Amino acid sequence: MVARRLVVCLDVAGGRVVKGTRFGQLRDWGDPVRRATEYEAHGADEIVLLQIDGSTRRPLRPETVRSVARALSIPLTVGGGISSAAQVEGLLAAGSDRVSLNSGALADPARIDRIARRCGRQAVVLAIDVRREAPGRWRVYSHGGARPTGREVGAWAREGAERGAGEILVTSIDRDGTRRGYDLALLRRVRASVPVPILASGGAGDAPAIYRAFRTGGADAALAAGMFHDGTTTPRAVKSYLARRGVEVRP
Amino acid sequence: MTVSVDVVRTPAGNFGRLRRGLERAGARVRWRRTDRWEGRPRGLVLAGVSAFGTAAGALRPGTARIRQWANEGVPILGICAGYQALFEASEESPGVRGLGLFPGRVRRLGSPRRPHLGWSRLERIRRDSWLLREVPEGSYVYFAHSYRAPPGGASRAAATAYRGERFPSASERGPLAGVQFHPEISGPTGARVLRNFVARVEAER
Repeated sequence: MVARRLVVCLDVAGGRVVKGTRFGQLRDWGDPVRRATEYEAHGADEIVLLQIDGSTRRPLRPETVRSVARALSIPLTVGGGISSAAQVEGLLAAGSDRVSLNSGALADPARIDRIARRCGRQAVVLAIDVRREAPGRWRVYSHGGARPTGREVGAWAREGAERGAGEILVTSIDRDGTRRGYDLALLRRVRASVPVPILASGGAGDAPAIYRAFRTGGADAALAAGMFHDGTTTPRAVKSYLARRGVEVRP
Repeated sequence: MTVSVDVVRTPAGNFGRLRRGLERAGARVRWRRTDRWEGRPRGLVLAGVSAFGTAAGALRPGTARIRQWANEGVPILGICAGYQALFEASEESPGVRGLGLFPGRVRRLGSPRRPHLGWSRLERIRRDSWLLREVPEGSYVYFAHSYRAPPGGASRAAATAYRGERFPSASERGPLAGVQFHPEISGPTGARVLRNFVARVEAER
C-alpha cells in the first residue's frame, strides 16, 4: 500500500517564512531552509512552499526554491503565482519536485494540459480553494479566496484531473486557520469526483482531525501548518497517534 | 577523490535534486546529452519522468553502448522513466521499443487510483543486491508513477505492493540496475541507495 502523507506548508513572503491568522498580521518566522529542514527532521513526508506575496503575482524566486531543495531529502512542492509552463520548468529546474496551480489554472484550464504534457502529471498539483455555499455545495474561489468563479468543486476537480493534474489539494476557506478540523463532507465530495490522490487542507488543529481526514474524508494526504508552527505537536507525534490507530504512515 | 557519474537527462525531471543526491553520496555529476554516446562513463544514471515513448525514444540510440558498458562492468542506474525504458516495451506507448535490457513489457497499474504517489515499502529485498545493500526490509521510499515493471523473475531486486498489486520496484542484473522510486527524494533510505550506487562505481575503477 501507500502510506498516508503528512505535509507541512510554509507560507513565504519576501523570501521569509511568515505565519499569521487569516487576514491578520503576518509575522516573520525565519529562514525557509531552516524551517523546512526542521520539519523533515521531525517526520514531515513532504514540504509545500507557498508564495503568499499577493502583490507580486509571481512564483517564488528560484534562489529560494534552490536553497530549500538542496537542504531536503523529501519531496518539495512549490505554489503561488504560477501560470506558465516556462515558470514550472524553472521551478522544477531549481529543485521543486511538484508545483501547485490555482488561479493560473482557473484563468486558463488548458495550462494544466500543457504543463502536465511537458513536465509529467506527477509534477502537477491542482490547488482548489472553496467556500461552502449550502450544505453539500461548495464553490471555487480564485486569487487567494478573493474572487468567486462560479465553478462547483467536484466538477473542477474532475476537469483538473482529466486535464492532467496528478493530485488535488483542496482547501476549505471557511475552515482555514480555525483549527476546527477539515471539512470532511468536502473531502468526500472530491474523493468521489477524482481517481487521483487528494491532499486535505484547511482547519487542521490536532491529530484526531488528521485521523478523520484519512478515515472519514478519504484523503490520501493531510496538509497542516499552524498546529505545527506553534509547537502544539510535531509531524512525528501525529504519526505515532495515527499508527496506533491502524493508519499506515512512514515511520 | 570523488568519482564522476554521468547523468543522461531524458526530457523532464527534477535533475537538481538528483544531482544533489549523487553529490551527497560522494559523486561528481556530469550531464550527458542523449545524442552523445561516445566515451565510456565510470557510472551512468538514466533519469527522467516523462512518458515511456519519450524516454525510450531519447535513450534508444544509446542502446548498444549501454549494453556494451554494462557488459564491461560500468554500473548503470535507471530511475523512474529511465528504469521503465530498460524494458522491452510499454503499454503506455504502443509501438515504441524500449532498450530491452530487462525482459518484458511495462504495464499500467491495475488500480484506477492512479498515479501511485507517495511513500510505499520495499519488500522481498534480494539478499545479494548491491544496490539495496543494508536497506532494511520494509523501508519506505517515494513513488510517483502510473505504469509498472513486469514480473522480474531473476532480475527483481525488490517488490512493492500498491492496492493489492505487487510489482518489481527495483531490478538488477550484474552492474545494471533500475528503480521505480525516486532515491533522490526518499529520505535516508534513498540516500543509502545512491551511496551504494556510487560505492559500486568507485569499486569498478
